Amino acid sequence: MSSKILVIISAILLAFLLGIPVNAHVVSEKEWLNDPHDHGDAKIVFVKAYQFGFAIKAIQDGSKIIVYPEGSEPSVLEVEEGDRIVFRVISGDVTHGFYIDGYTPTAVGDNRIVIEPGKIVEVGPITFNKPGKIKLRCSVTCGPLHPFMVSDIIVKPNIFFYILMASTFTIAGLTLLYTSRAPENRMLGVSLDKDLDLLKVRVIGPILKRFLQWRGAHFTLILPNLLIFMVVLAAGFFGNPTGNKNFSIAVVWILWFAAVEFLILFGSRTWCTICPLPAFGEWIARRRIYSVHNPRKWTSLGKKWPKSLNNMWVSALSFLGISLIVPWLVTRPVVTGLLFALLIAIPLFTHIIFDPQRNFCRSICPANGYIGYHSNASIFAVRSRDKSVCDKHRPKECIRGSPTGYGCPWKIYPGGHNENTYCGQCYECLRSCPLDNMTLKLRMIGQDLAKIAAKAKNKFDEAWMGFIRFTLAVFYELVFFGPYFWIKDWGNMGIIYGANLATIGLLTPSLEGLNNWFKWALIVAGVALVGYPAVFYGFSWLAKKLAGENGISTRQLFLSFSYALVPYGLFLWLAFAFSLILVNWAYPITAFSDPLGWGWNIFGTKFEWNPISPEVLPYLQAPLLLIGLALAINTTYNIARELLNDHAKAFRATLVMGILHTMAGLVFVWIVAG
Amino acid sequence: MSRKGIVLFEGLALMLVVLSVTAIFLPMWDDVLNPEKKEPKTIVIRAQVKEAGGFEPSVIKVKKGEKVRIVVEGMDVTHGFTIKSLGVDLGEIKPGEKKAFEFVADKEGVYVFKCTIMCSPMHNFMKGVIIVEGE
Repeated sequence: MSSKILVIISAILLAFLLGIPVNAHVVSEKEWLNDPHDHGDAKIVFVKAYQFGFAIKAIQDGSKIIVYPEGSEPSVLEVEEGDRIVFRVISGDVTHGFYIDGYTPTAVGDNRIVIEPGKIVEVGPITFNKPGKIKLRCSVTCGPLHPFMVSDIIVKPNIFFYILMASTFTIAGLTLLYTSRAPENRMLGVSLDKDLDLLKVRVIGPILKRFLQWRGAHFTLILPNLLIFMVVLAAGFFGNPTGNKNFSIAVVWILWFAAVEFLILFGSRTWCTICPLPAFGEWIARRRIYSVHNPRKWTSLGKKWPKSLNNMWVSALSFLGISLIVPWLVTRPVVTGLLFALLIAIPLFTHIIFDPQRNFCRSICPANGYIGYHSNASIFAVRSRDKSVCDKHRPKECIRGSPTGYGCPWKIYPGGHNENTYCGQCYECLRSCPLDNMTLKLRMIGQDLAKIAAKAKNKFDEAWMGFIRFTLAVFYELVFFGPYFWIKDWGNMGIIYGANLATIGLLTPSLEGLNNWFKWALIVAGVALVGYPAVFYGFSWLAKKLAGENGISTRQLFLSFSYALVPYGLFLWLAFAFSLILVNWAYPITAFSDPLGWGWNIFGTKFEWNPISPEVLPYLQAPLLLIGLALAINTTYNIARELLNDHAKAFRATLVMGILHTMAGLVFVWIVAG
Repeated sequence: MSRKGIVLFEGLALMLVVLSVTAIFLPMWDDVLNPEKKEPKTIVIRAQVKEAGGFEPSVIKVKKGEKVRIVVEGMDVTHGFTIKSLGVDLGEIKPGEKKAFEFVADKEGVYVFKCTIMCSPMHNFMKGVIIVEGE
């Protein structure tokens, strides 16, 4: 018996130790390029797929062949309209897919073009008959960065790019023309004085009011998300190590990341209403989940929250910090799991050690900063109906609390405030107000922006939040959906593995990887923290000179004008959100049925990756950019008007800043279409 | 609200919270939620790159004479699966894809299975064994 076990054990050992190559046929480059092939008048493009990009190794036109040596392959494939192209594709490492927006068949089932290592796969001939920029994508999951394995193909003449550039100039020009006619307190023709009292709207109003005044409303909204967050933790730590198969990545970084931008536009800080991160801390401190409890009986050490933290700096910098590790964060479940664990733990401490209010939300949460900042461009706001009623009403239940509602946990004066930045929309003021003076309002984008911007003294935190968000919107589009592999690889530290808790060791970077990451971090942080702000300051100085205004400092103009990035940045992020969700919609939907990526199908919503008309993406992104640009220019004018109190001066300043915003818009246009 | 009401509502809320938090134990539900595992005598082998663990499980014991269904599921990148001594070759298994085969273990012994498609630098070490034991 024992000898039998011995035989088995040695057989197993042998089997594992001997790495005998199994069918590991590799195509040599020579074999690949010299393989006989004849495709008449079609050009032949030799593409090598690798983790995580496509390299154009050679292009053959008739008998002429250009071979690009290692390291000098073009990032972008340029073809002429009407060109017939045959792609001869090999894989440099693992199995990949091959998908060209609008040209190859849908990427589902047997239609998928698979590039198996060791084989030469011929695709085409494809006749490129639609001018414009399209993307070449990988359609078979090939590792953590698979969703971002893309390259560009430009079908010349790229007419759409020229049209888009012309539209950018036209929209900028038209908006400037509009502001030259001295519109007072208007945004693109819509009055900023008007708003709609949502709670007085017929049918919807009373229902909404009853729901929000119900004490269980907040809890009911948080609960489903709490469940989702727990699934994120479970999937992040124990689920499939490959990001797009894992709930924590697919739902957080594809669905949520995209959805939150739309939530900001239409619902201001609605995300903060339903976010469960600070809930544990809040419930433990209050010793209540549902009902109101006397603040004197709360469980908290009640230490004073440091004054130096009462701003957006930590939020802004932690958002930037997260962005520096974003190639890992959005592809490695364990990194997301750890971040979520941290974001649940911190508010637990802040609630118990410091005064048990939303201090974490106000000044630490990496999402708070940008959601709050951009929510000033939202069409939605929580406001008092009549401020004078609140000012005259001494008991101030909205601050101190009442038996029906807590005093504002966000430490603002709900009755008197006129900015969304720090209103977390928990609706406690709706419950505590005895005068029925609090309501929800629909308004035009940027209603309070000019006043907020003009009053912004020393609010460098918010200005830099704007710069970070704006530059990152442009940068993400370039990094994630651009053809430049090297920059993705720098951020990714060159690691090809996914990771959950058990395999977290695979994320140990090499020295070269670390070195490259520092370069990446330097570029990202440099552009966001120094580069763009410096350019912005330069233009603000010019604006001051041209406006001929001496009563106001360049610094103030710089700070105030930076608020034009509130709507502009938001619309660029909306454009980015489109490319995230239209291409990768299948991942989050599948993740709900198979959260751990283990082959479950709980709700029967398993879908294969299949982008929705990705070739029209730039046509959807462009209008968002143009709206953002128009809003930015008009906002700049409104701010200048508020600050300088003079139309002529304000218009000249707007002209200067408008040039900068147009230039920034052109950069984005170049990335999506050029 | 009365004291009784508070206790009732808080208790109810707390119960819902605790219930939600238990979602963290989701991985333990594999045997219930995995459609494959509901079938009798089915063994699910998860294929992932060797660096992350290779085939899981990689050592499978079956009794002689048993009829077994084996499902190989792709996890991270495209893998292959072959047992030469049994003449089994499942071809390529893409991430999210499942391929299955059935076999009757009529001979005692050790059957080595391997990945057949280049999947990572340690691809050549991606192996496992099926051990058919006697009575």
